[in-house]
Amino acid sequence: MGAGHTRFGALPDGPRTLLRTAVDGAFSSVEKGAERSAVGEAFLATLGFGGWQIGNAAALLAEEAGSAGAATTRVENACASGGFALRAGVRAVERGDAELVLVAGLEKMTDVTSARRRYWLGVSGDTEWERLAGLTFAGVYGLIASEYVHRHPDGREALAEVASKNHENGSRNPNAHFQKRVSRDEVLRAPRVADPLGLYDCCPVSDGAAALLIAPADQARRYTDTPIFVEGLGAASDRLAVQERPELTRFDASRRAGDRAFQDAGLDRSRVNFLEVHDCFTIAELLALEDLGFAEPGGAVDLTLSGATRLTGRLPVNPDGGLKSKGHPIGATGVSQVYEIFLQLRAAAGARQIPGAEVALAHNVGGAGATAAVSIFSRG
Amino acid sequence: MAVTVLEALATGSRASGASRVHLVGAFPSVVDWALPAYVNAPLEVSKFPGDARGLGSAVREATDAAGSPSTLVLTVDPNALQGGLAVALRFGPDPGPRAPEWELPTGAEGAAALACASLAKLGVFADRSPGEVPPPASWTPDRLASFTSVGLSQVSEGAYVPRPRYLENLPSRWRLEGDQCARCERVTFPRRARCRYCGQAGRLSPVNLPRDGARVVAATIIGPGSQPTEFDPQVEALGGYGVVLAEFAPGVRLTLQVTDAGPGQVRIGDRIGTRLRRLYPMEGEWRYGRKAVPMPT
Repeated sequence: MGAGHTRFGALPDGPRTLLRTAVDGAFSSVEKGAERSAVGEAFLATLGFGGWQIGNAAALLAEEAGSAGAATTRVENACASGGFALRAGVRAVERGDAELVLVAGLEKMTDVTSARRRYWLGVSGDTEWERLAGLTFAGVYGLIASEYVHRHPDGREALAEVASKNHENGSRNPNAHFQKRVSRDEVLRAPRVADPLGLYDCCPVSDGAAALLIAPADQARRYTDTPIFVEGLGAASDRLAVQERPELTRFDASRRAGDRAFQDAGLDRSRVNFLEVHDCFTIAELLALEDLGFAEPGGAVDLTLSGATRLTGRLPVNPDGGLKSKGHPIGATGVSQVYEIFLQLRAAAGARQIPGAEVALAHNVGGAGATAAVSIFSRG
Repeated sequence: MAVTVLEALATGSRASGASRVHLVGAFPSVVDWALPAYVNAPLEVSKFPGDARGLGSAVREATDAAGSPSTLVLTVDPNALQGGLAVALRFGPDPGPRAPEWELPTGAEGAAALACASLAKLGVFADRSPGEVPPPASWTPDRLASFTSVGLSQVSEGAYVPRPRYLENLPSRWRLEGDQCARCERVTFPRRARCRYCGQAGRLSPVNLPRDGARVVAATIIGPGSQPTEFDPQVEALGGYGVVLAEFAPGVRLTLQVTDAGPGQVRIGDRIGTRLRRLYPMEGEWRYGRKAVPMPT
């Protein structure tokens, strides 16, 4: 019933300020007001990038929220921390642990040395084997993309379309890290990072935070006349190392999490009006469309090149610009996706509003598919 | 590099070689454990200083023991470039049907002379006979400096794999040892003490995967700046590198850095071989693992 968001990007603000800004935004979005002291449980999604506060970081959330004394839990599943924190928050409400639950995601990534940043960017993959072969996440996704493009020759063009489309959407999002448009041609001509992925195929390193307030469904109208309802949740895991999975070009964790979420919601995929998917690299958006059942294996190429996933298409994907353009402050990302859904379903998304959106899905992946959380929301 | 020489010795008929190894020079302490693990047989490892007296002692002890267990004297420059020089001398009664090319059955004197020349080439005796044997032309000062400046004492700010984790993986990392399940017959690699497919924890027996012939499933090129920090010195000296995911048997896949080939030279569908090479320094020692090379013809 409430959602807040900081700008994403290279920001002067420290972690406490980011948390405070996002939480303040969430409370001020509750039209009929909510008491900060009513927050009984708070969940903080963060990797603790750079090591600024590896232990007990969640206590800071209650502190900065003005909800001192609330039970706090840090949730860490790498880039999927936010999606799993949302899940923990919803479950706490369902169990009756608290009348009001605060879920926030945070990462401060730009104030460490570049060597330390590259170190932290690789800590969530398989360190004993894949990292020792010289791979960061860009490298792992580069391997995935190489096989995908080998199988589907138009894939490289579709990857460029994903980047171009998400930059277009991001240019309409005042919170986005990148707010400039990029043509497919520029994407294809950019320097290579991990072939076939180039600079514009990769999400940036960003600071940012997002926060959500969750209450029991039967209490929601005490706070607002336009609540957003959680229809279904699904989560799953897979082997940490991609080399130990049978297939490179699909994430079974995403598949299982998606199937469980749709089962939980009792909804058909055709009811979904738009998607927020985890596009840390452009290839990840194509895999997400296939893993979530919106395209057959390889079918994401045609779906994307047809324009269906643009803001004006029949199934808009990442209207906020996605991780690609909006930015990817690791712990904040899964919470930020729900913030966008909150805005869209309340018809408050401004220049990027999808007309008449009623049902939306958020898809959050940890690392290269070792964890995944999917959630489905409706306007009620 | 020591293990690269050992690998050559352990191939084929050479595997039944030395049962004692005399190491001459500054070898990291890990090799005491690693060499026996690598050849998968008990090995008595002794160390000698990397100077003329050390070499003399190593060779004398090896020749004194002639007639009893065969001994390998191994010298190597721990700061040499990847693929640099190492010399192994073998002493003993039975060199086997295919003697390694660097074995010198001409007696201790000739062996010591050659080893001295080799050590001079490696720079171990640089203070005694400077310039006696010039380094290979490919060792330009720039390349050499960039590697020697790394130093074994530098601890990489990378993914921290402590020595026990590194050591427990060596059978899989070096010999490509997997676990074959007696129940479902499938191979789990790397070894995890549990079958990945049927979940069985017992009745697993080690099986060695073929070292050559794996098929490339995916291939990427890591551009400079996209490497994990522990590979920074390598990228500064040699530029970006290729990484492949290769399939050794159904369901058995391994990510490998590509070496002895230019970026992009190894492609999807190609067959590759694997070789033991240096990975990067950590905890004061070089970490070794397999890298992919174009399929040997």
